[in-house]
Amino acid sequence: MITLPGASYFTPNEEPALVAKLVIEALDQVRIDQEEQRSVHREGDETSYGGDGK
Amino acid sequence: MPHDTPLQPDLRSGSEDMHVGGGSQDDIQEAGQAGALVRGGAAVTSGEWTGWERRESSPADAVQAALLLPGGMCTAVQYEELMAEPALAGVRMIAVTVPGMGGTPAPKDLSIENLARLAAQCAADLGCDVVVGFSMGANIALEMAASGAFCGPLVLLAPSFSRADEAVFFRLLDRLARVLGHLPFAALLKMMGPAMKRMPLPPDRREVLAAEFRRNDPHIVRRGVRYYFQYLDRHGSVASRLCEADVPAWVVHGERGDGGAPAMNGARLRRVPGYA
Repeated sequence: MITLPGASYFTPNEEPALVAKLVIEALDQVRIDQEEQRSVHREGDETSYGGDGK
Repeated sequence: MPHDTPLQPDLRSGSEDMHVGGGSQDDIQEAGQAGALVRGGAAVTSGEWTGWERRESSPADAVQAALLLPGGMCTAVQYEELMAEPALAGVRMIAVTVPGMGGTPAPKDLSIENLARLAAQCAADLGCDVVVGFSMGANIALEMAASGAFCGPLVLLAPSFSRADEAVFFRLLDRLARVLGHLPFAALLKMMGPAMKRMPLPPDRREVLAAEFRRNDPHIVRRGVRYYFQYLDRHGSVASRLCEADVPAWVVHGERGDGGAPAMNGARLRRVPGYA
């Protein structure tokens, strides 16, 4: 939760740089989650194939 | 700071008359599954949202996308400042006008649940990784996650978690409308220009946003606001729904002006210092 000091009426219009920063953070989170999922899948594949890649 | 060369948003306008029934839980889950597919590279168009007015910046090399939901009575035009932010130049940004807002055709069912269902279909079909919502749009985004229809991160700008969180004048308008029908909202739309003088924006930009407000049909606004408050009242507080959705969420609010800090009602959100 982020509290902006003072009055805020139309956040996207008044604070676009801040919102952009948060959107980037959110997209980074998606990327991290996707990489973790891929890593889990790779580990699963290696386990299934006995780790020899066949 | 905006781009030196302004983006050329693609404004697509839908004119088809939309009559949409309430969505079932099955529909909602289906939309969520479609979202997972789209993130994997497949594109499925489910159709109900395709007539929505939208503004889009589409860098050729964009691999990630964000869906932007404006506030009540606002249109996709509201997000022009955000879409012009250099930090987002590599991201596909899709701002939509929620149906019924800005004089666009309204579905029969203007409930937050139904709008969330449609927005989740839109997010899934367009492969959006993140949803950003402002005010009522933030509540639609919250409901997308709470219903399980969208499972990505949310950026919620000035959401209200309960009726008490909403601005006093807006609650008053809702009450007046029970007696006076659409008239309080007709008056509101007429007053929007002068009222927006407090916004720290250039006068010409304020006028653009005020003109977008004036496109609204006060009858539709009245219906939408009634549905909105019914949604908040039905849950008492939707803060716990956000927590139970278990998606990453950034919640932004002003100390005053946008209704202030939403009441947590026992739900726990971590305060992030150092942003302002």
